[in-house]
Amino acid sequence: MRMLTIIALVMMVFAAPSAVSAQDFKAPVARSGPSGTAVTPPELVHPEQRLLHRGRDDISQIWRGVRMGERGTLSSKSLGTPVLVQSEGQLWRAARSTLLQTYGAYLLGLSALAVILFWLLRGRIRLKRERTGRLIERFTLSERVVHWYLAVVFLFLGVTGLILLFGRIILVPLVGKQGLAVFATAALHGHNLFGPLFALGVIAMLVLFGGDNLPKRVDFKWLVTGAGVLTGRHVPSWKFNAGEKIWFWVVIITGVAISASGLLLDFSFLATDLSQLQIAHFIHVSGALIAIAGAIAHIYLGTAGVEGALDSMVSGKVDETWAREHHELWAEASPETEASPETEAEETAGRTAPAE
Amino acid sequence: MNNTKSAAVSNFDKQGDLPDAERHASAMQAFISEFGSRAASYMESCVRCGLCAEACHFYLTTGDEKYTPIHKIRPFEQAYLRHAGPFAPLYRFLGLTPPVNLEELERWEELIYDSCTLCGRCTLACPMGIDIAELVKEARHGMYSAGLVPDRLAHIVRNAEVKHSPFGEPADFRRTVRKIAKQHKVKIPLDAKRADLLLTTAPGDLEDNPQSVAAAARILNRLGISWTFSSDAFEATNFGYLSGNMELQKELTCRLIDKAREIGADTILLPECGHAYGAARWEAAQWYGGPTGVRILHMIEFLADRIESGAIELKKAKGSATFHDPCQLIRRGGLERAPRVILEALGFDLRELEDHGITAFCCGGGGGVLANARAEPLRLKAFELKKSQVEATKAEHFFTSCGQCRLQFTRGAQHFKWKKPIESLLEAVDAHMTAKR
Amino acid sequence: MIAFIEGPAWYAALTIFVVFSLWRLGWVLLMGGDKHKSPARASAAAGAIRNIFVDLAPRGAFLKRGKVWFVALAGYAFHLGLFAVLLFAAPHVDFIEQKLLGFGWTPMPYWGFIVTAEIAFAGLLLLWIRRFVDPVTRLISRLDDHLAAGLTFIVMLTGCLALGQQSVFLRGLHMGFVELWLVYFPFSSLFHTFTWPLSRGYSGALFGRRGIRA
Ligand code: SF4
Ligand code: SF4
Repeated sequence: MRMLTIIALVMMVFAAPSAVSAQDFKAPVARSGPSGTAVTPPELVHPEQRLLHRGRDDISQIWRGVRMGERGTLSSKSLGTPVLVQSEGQLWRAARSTLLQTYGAYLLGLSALAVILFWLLRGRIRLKRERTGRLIERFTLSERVVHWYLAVVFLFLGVTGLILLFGRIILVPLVGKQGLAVFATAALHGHNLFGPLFALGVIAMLVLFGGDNLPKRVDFKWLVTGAGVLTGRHVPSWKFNAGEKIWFWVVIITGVAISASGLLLDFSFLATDLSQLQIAHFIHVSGALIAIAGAIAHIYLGTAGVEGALDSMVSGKVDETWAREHHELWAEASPETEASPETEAEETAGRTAPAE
Repeated sequence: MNNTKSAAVSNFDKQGDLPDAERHASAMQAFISEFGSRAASYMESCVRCGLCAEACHFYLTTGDEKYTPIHKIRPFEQAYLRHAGPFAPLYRFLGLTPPVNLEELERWEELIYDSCTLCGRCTLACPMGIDIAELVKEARHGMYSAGLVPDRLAHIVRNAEVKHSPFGEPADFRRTVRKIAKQHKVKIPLDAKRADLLLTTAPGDLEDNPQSVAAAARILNRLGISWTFSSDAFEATNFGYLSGNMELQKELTCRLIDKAREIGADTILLPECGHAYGAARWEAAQWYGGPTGVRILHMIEFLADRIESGAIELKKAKGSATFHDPCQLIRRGGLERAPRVILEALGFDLRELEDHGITAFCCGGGGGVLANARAEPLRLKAFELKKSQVEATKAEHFFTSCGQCRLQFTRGAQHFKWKKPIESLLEAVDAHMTAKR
Repeated sequence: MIAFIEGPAWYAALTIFVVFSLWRLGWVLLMGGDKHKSPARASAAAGAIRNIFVDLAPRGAFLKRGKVWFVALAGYAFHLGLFAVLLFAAPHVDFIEQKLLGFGWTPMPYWGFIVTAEIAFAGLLLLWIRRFVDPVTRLISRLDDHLAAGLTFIVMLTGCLALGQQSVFLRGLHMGFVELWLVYFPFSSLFHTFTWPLSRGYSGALFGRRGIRA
């Protein structure tokens, strides 16, 4: 099965450039630049744009004009070049179309594929034993709030970001060029606005969840045995297993990279060289794609994939049985846990969990 | 935690044999008649932020969300929305809020009676300033009409109705007062035809703390005040107020005031009791139907006043003391200063509890909860909270000035084998008062 | 379409908002109160004023609880952010000048808008999320509370998406949701906007009359 996917992947990689190479994207640097670096041909500024002039540079005429060699004034010279279209821009466009869009699409597709495969192989992972009705706190209220805060902001940024990245390919056939312009300006403003909120969420996440996600010895065993999928036996873990820990650090590392590069793009007057912005953009998009790919798997495992997982992030509590079956060492160490499961199972036989 | 939650569901008592439909109708009737601008403003303002839970000792000590204060009055709120609110027809027509049914009222009995001491701490935490204590008290009116009151509380109310006082008949009172007078060697005027001051008392003091009655008598005698007890108006405790029996509340209120006017007393002196103060000092005019023409004073208010005027002089005591602020006197009564004046005059080194003054925690037994036998587990939880705060002060003496709080602490201390005596400010003043006149 | 949204629909929504808000406020105020009050120890009016205008931070004793901090900070962040955006965002000032009052004032600079909007969003999101994950708020929240939060969120969001100001569609979308919000407002818990001084005032009057914290 794995072989098959690799073959499919390789094939797709070769097939893709032809599909997307015709893309003609605006240089993102100037697009997302703050007012300071925006190009402002005066005749293109509509009166109602005078107050909130961010985003008017989306008007495609500007770019048509620019590409045709029209001269504008660069209100900030900090980037050291009065040239509107520099040759790096062309290179940049090529890198963006082929690398980011193509491989990004594969990455996301692959992640979805992996989820489907996992679902086909394992199905929904259910509890093997009866629930005890005794609940153990897994996530505190602050942990839950921060998790969902980051989740909501991430989803919003993911959707708007994908519109910006793939809008041309996916949306133009659906809504036409005019429609895309609407989507793009909306997505751009929403994306820029929510970005800093994401950075705060990542920091909060690191503070709250960092400690429990430090690697431990058992994690290696978990990894080596492939989470016990290969041996068919459950590998005990602490509060988080190695898979969850890897996801956590992916979130943190890509989160920091995305935030840092994103903030640079938001405040591009901080950059001293255009190439810095291009690199930032590259990091930003690739980091985001990795995070989105991971999120697809995370969302599946956290909701439909594992019985009781979603509940742990909503109510904060898990049944003792769940704790034992998924995070044995953590369950044993929990002060709320009672006697061992064998004796307990008999005692509670026939007792169902309370409705609430 | 979840287990206790499901176990507690069918915890209700029923009185009388009204048919269900009538029970329900009378509850709704009473609910609806409660709504004026004040209650309506409260109903219209809640934003469901849940901060009230952060103030309530029953939520804090159990962690069970059903003790969230605003949740305790849900049927009352439903009645408002469907029958008294600005969009009531809309709510009924569209079915936006389900009608209150009897089963719901039965389920809420526990929340309205067992888990609210009417302490008003939640009122201070609510960003909208919603006075949930008042709303719970008003909701009790409907519950009482429906005959849905905890049995023990209902029983006491019945005693108050037929026997004059839960303590007993006037004859019982006369006998007990004479006994106290003899035992404590103090002169106690009883049923004087004329007096300036009518002293009242509480069943708890008569039964469990007779020395407290003697102390009050001694202080009044030393001050040379013309005062009396009345055997047909001695009861300061208002079980109408606690149970939601409005008629009884009115009757008990009027009895005291009428008696005071009859004997020409300008002052009614309330014993060390919290809710007696709430009922008499702050609600009397409402039930009496106009100005009462009588000054109503709480014992500590009276003592602090006489200490400050120099009429009472005290020998200095030694050591450190802490004080439990009874909710109805302090947070709901505005007497925060009085006990501190007394303690300072007594010369104690006052070590305040971590939570004191208007944000002090309730003892856990107020609002009729102490009389409600089945609420004991909850009461004990609240007691533990107080106990730990008292212990943290390392004070030698633990004072309060409410008979109900005192009883709650005494019972809690018995249960946990806690050795701390619970002392009364009144008795301390009596013990340290210099015989001046 | 946009003509309809900015014309008749806008005035209809505004009318519903005003009429039913007045109805609800009037209803509450005209319900009446207790006729007889026991003698006051201190001024009820002073207590009411104090509770409405002065005691607006959580009392010290409650700050021992993390949730109180959370709700206070997120709550103020959201409300202050929202009001700043509502009254000082440049397009809003323009709108007020052209459609409502006939005069305007100095709007916030663009960066100011972004920062305030972010603060408001963060506050609203955090508060709304807690509604779902805190057992207390989960138990007591009504559908209305979620709708109120959701509509407000959408109104804010569409407003920000329309920031570029060159799309009539986005502007119309924002206006449309604003109108929906206005229509929903008088019937919902959003109405606490107008009732909070009443409820705080009544409690404050009780404190005042009884001389609590005199
Ligand atoms: S604190 Fe006040 S506004 Fe908040 S839920 Fe409780 S009663 Fe409602
Ligand atoms: S009045 Fe006191 S006991 Fe009753 S709900 Fe409020 S805080 Fe809890």
